[in-house]
Amino acid sequence: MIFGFTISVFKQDRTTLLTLLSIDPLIRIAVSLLPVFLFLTALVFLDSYRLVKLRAVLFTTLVGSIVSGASFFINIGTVQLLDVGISFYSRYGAPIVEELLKASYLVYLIRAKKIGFMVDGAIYGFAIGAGFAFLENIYYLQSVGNPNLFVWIVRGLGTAVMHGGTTAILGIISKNLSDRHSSDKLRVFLPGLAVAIIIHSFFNHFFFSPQVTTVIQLVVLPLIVLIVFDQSEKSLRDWLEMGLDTDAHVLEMIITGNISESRIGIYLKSLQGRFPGEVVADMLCLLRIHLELAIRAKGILLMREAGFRTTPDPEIKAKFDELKYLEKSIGKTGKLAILPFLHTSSRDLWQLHFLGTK
Amino acid sequence: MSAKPIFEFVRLGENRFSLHGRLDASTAENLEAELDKIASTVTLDLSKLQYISSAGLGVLLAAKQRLSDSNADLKLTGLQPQVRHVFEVVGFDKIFKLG
Repeated sequence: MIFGFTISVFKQDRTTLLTLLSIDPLIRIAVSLLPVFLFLTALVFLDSYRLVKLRAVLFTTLVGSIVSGASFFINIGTVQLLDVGISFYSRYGAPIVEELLKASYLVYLIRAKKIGFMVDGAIYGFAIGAGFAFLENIYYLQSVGNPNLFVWIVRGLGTAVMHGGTTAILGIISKNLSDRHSSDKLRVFLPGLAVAIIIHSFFNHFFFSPQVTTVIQLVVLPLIVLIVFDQSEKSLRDWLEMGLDTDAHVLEMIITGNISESRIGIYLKSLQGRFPGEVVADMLCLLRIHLELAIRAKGILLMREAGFRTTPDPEIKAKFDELKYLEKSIGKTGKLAILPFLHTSSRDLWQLHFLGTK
Repeated sequence: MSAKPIFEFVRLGENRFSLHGRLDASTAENLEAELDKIASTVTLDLSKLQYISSAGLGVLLAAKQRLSDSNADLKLTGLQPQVRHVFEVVGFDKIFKLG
């Protein structure tokens, strides 16, 4: 957002970075930290299912800061390479570079099934943006010398909300599209990225005074994120209840032996001609373990929502070990054969990942 | 002749109640309304409960937490095998002491 100002100061005084921490470092760092993490803490607090661990939030914030550092040098280099005006680049170039870099980690998280819902997409997105703004604010603070503290707080808050908000919105849109299209191809991330770039560019145009811009940022972006939070938590609740009941019903059929007359049972019987008997038996075991783990994951989410602390259960590790053995036993072809009955949507794979890391 | 209700909340004694029938999305609210009136340790006899779904599990969990916050407890007894199994698979057997 302040890229234009940043690059001109960088050109004037190349030793600025070296003296960065020499003037009231604790006060400056604290002032730049406070507004950034205030919003992030609010989002984590709103996560009633505790989908995202604090450790993961802190790590993601660090990633955001690293990305901020990288974008600083990329922007400098790009301006010099393209030989464009600073004002023009800050409106049309910097938003693309910065939002792309911030998006890269989110893309990885979604494709690695580490994000299950729009809620955690929003939290991770905001954490990346917060980390990005944190480092940017430190440099800005040094660049303008000793600003009025109130002005600095407003500026810090505004930038943090803008960076956090754009990446949170990118996470929300991308996760939503990824789920709808059952795809994690790069094209599902393009609409969210476009929205983030447009919002960022809009604020870099400085259509309004800094005070008005900050007020708009503080009202509009958090409102969007909160609305999505609410919708996503409702969606999570629906998925939990329907998914758990369906899984429990199928599991009961397997355990009581009533599976043979069901659609699953009839299909498994039809596989007996193509696979050895022990492989078909392992397929049924695999299905049962999958269901038990899926139900357990949903149970943990329900407990967290009710306010219970969940502790690691050694049974879960044992089940994951058994799952790996069964997957090896039936082989890739066997797994393909029972794929229609395994949980394979991105949300279902996420819940297994979620359970595996608890 | 009126149809048998799907779910019933029957008083057995002081702070002791029996759940009859099915506890699912349509009947969970009834249980929630009854449990909200209770502020001390209570025992629920589930021997006549044939079915429980996530909606019912959620209500029991919320009541357990609420009562725990006021140093009271929610105890469950007499679970049918299929209901007990659901509790065990979901992991709620570690929260509730299943009698």
